[in-house]
Amino acid sequence: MNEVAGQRAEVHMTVSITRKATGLTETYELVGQVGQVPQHPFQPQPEPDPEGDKK
Amino acid sequence: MSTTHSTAARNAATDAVTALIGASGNLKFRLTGTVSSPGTAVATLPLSATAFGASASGTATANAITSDTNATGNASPVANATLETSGGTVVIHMDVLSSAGSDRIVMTGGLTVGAGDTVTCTSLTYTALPA
Repeated sequence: MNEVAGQRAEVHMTVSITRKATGLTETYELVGQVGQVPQHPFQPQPEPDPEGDKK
Repeated sequence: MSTTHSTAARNAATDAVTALIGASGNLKFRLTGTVSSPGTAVATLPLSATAFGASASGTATANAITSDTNATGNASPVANATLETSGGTVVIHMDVLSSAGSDRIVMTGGLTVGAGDTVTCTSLTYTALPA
């Protein structure tokens, strides 16, 4: 069974925080990554050797 | 094997997700949690009545976001951010990282919001299916 998984969705944002204590403003570039990479429900099985029974 | 989507597919996916936010949703910065059990909110920034513009090249840009001028704050660093409906239903739940770059500030101690701080988001883009 083929399994297709794309890249994770992303949010990019610029956030500024003005500190109440000092009045200073800090600016940050943030990257939000959405969701998790899906885990394989089982390990793929190796293909049977078609010549195996003839050896 | 790599996976790619057409621009039309990417736009459709992004627009479908942002439409779920609905009218007057919120951007919230939170402590650690999950989409079904979000962490404590430390800052709440109201989104515009229409949260995002139409997606272009797979990316939608948020319309104006109102600042939180009196954040709840917390001693622990922000770990997650959520985009949610006005009723509090989480549509997008994300881990928040700091991005490094020559023109950016790198947060070594994490993003910590203090009580009473003003938190402003000047730009926000969302991409459902990166190219």
